[in-house]
Amino acid sequence: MIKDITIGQYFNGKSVLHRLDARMKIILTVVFIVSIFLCQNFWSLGLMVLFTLMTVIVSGVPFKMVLRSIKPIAIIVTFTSLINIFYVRGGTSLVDWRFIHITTNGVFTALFMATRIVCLVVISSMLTYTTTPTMLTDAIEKLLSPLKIFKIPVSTLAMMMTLALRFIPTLVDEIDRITNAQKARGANLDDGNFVQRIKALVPIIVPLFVSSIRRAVELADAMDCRCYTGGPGRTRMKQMKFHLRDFASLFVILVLIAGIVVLNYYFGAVLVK
Amino acid sequence: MKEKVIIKFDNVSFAYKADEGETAATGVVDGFSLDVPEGQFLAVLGHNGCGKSTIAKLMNGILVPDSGKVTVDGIDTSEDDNVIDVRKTVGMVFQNPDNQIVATIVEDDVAFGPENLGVDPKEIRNRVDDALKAVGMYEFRGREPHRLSGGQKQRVAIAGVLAMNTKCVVMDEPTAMLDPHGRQEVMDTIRMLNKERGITVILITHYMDEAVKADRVVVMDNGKIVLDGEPRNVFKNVEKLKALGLDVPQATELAYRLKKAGFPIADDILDEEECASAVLKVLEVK
Ligand SMILES: Nc1ncnc2c1ncn2[C@@H]1O[C@H](COP(=O)(O)OP(=O)(O)O)[C@@H](O)[C@H]1O
Ligand SMILES: [Mg+2]
Repeated sequence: MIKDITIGQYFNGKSVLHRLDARMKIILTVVFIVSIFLCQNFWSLGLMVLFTLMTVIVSGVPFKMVLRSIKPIAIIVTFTSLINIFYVRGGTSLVDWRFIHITTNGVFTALFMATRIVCLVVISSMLTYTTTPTMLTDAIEKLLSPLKIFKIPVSTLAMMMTLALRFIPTLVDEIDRITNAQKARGANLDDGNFVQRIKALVPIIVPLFVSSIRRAVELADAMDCRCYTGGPGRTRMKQMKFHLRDFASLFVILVLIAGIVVLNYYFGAVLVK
Repeated sequence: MKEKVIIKFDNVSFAYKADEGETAATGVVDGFSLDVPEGQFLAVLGHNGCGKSTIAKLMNGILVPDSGKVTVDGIDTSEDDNVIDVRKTVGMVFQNPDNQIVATIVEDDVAFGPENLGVDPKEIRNRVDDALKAVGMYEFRGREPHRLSGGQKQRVAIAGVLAMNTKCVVMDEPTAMLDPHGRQEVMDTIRMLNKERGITVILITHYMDEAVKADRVVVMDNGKIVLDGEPRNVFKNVEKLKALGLDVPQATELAYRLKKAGFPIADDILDEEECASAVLKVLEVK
């Protein structure tokens, strides 16, 4: 059961998106996020939404899973929408009753904001659905490697990320074991008020720390034995290579941006100043 | 012709430094000398805390001797400049497979050593595939290590050492955390390394049935060697081994008890088969 946890939220698939180079996917995601904020009217925003939907369909990730990634932001979206509706002024007035003033600008801003946030979250989650954490770490390492000239230890940071990912399941297992051991000794972890429950966690956290430190020492020895120095001169078995599809995907997103600009120009901005 | 010695301990002493405020450290290894010829399968036995792991760590420069000298393929381990060369010669497999696997994918972990050595990517690929095939884990190359059984993880760790092309592998109780099935897998792999690839194996263990399979057994007590020889000759000393808090293989134990009970039975019995035929012989005589 616990042994089966997956790190991150990778969805195993064979789509084009899965096969795109992880570096390109990170770049595309950033470009997309920026272009979301270029939209000025419902036409260009609509194009964005269409593109997002297409991405989800192409990836083959079930809609249910995508919805799950939106769930946590539902509250934020609702909240910002309400604030926008009640506080943004301008355009024609829709409701003007006592202290409640709702204008077209308010409603439009709310709609815009909500759509943008949802698109943003869906697209970013597409990145993590179609890329394994390992590929992501490698890609981040490659993309950040120019920072080495500023003496930032990019490879070491990437190694730390890899080790963190590697040890999450091990530590989850360990927590499970310690919890059971403490329960067997009569620890009561499920009852009591908030403070009592926090206190009940101490007998779990302390052994967890002790064992983690021991693990770290052993791991350091094991890495030493395999000649890890953290210094330069390290090669990688898996070389990342851009394929035609990566350039094609870049082209697609550039076309999308062009589309947004054209639609913005033809239909004008929706918000009246 | 004399065999080439690959690991040599020359009158080595070592003690862990005491922390401040504690009493002075006691020597854990004291005047230790040992020659391991190339290609040997050596088993090291000893009760808990007698310094086996310390010896293992002295073998590839994780620890360096306070006095005396450890040489690996003629290289002194105590010089900082030699550390990479030493570790290219002597690989190490530890007890807990979880604490020595560094990557989130099996083949990436096996590639870790050669990557650190700056080997060419294509060559790494070949070595990784070869090593995984050798330990029978090739089909699992794309898996996540935490989904493997203990025996499988330990085989991945062995593949990681193999991919570094070391001449020598030191294993510190590699089967201690495994179930009988996993132990069997790992033992088979270790013997394959030694017999088919000619790799020198130093196996630290407290399972007697594993030690029986070795070419030579060294028994330690308090950081010193107390018995050294072929398994047959070492396990003969049943009383001495028991005094050291060690067991003997079950078959040896049975023969020993029969002998004590007055039966004329050989005292250098190692496994069930030998025991059975010896008992038969005794019965026939009667
Ligand atoms: N890192 C350490 N610091 C201090 N003392 C240690 C350390 N590791 C082991 N020891 C002590 O050294 C002795 C030998 O330990 P070890 O070589 O691990 O024995 P073995 O592997 O045979 O059980 C033990 O008494 C142990 O307590
Ligand atoms: Mg030990």
